[in-house]
Amino acid sequence: MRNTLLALFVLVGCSPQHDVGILLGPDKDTLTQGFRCYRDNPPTELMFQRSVVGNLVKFSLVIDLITIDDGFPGCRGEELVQACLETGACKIYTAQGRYCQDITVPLSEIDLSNPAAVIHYIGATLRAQDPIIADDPPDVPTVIRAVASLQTCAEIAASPDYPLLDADSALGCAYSCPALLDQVNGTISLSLDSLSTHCEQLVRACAGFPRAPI
Amino acid sequence: MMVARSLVLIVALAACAAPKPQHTIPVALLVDGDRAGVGSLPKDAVSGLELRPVELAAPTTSAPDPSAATIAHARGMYAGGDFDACRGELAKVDITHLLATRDRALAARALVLDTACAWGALDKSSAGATAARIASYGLELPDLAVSPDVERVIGEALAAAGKAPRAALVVTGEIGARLTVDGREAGCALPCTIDLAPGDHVLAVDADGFQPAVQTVRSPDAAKVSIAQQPASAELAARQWRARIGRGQPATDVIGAALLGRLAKESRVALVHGDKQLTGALVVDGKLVASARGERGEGPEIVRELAYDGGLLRRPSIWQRPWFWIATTTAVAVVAGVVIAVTYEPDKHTRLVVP
Repeated sequence: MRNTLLALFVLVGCSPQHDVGILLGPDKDTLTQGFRCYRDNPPTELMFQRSVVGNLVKFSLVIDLITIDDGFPGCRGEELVQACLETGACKIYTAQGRYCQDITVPLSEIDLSNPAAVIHYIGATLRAQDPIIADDPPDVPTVIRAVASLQTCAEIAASPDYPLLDADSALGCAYSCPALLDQVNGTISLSLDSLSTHCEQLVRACAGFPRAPI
Repeated sequence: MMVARSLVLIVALAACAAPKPQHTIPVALLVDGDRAGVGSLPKDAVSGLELRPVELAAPTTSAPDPSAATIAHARGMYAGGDFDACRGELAKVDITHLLATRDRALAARALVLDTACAWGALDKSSAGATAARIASYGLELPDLAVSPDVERVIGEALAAAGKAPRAALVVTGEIGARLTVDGREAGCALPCTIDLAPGDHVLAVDADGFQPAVQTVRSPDAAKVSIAQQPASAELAARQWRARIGRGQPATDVIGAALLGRLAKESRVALVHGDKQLTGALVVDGKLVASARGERGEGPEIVRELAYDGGLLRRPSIWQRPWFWIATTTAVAVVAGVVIAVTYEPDKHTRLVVP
């Protein structure tokens, strides 16, 4: 009898921990196109090239949870726009703060033209600084978005548009399909739905989401 | 919320309360067999009933019949030649009673001796008449030393009776009553027709639930006779009921139930018999209306079931019985447990991490 009560207590009182890993690309060794877009002008320059300041590469990486209060749209941009921009049902989740890491790298240590090197460096940096992106997020359909920005974390926090990000400062952006994170097993991949490497405007729209692009 | 809960509680308590009659119903209670196995049955053992214990009177031994002593005394007088005194003494013997109680040997002894005394007193007509009674009753002659003349008179009477045609007699009375004729089983139960030799005869009837009755008839003067019996007293009914049990007859068949009703002096009688198991019967107005079985020690439960089955008490509705609520609560708890077990999904504690 006592064992039964104990088991019942454990069953009711405990909630099992469930870790969902975020991949900045289709797999852990591949960087998403959203972080490898070329600028519109000059078209031969990577957007990430703007992060080079002297001998350093300086940018911030923001990972947001965008909750969708009503409905469960698909992955395509058109569906997300319809579900979020036209209804206001999508909000950047900031109840637990926001995951933002300032990253500064000597230019000599990173080759921005080598996506594998970039993703490994970003991953190692994030793991070293704070591997937990969100703890017990809400049980609603959620889009995970990662934005690399020229804004520092302090500037982002102080922005009058907080929690919206400055689209002009974006260096790269990727997002996941809407998902109930409690039901995701293993990892969830972020990507940018672009058919071209010249995708600056998509990155800007992604970073400014859920604000309509100007 | 508090008020609603109170109302629910009140309704539940009211629902659980079994209906109780306003007045208790008197029921005579007869316990037999292994009383220890029946358990305690005080008068308020069953709510709604007032149990009134009935004790069967211990069987009494009847006083010895003085006829044998009287006949022995008369025989002494006969041997001493005092024939008139002998006849006077024998006049005290109730031959009809002896025959009704089936003591044909003693009746034969008295009549043969009376014949001899009358012959000795030179009253030949009386001797002949007494000898005719011996013949009429068909009595077997006793081993009694009498004079050859007396033996001849009796022999002539027997011979005359044997030659005379027998006449039919229709006997009616309580249906099923046992009939004896001159102290012998008639071999039939009333109503029945018997053939009788000419002369006097003693008809005795005996039926459970009635007083025995005796009637003398003279054949062939009567062709039909009806013998009435009075209802048995409580004491006689108890003796008859006990005798039936002793004969291995059912305690609560139609006759047994009627006897129970009579012996208890109550219209409602509960009988509980203790043995390896308990058996019970309820008799109302002399008729068996309910029977029940139970385990040892369950006397009150058996009486309660009898009262329910016999219509004395109203059986509680199913929702007024405690086990219904116990079963319902258990079933609801089990179903709820199953539903919870099947549908419960613990809240996951999800973390988003950099792999």
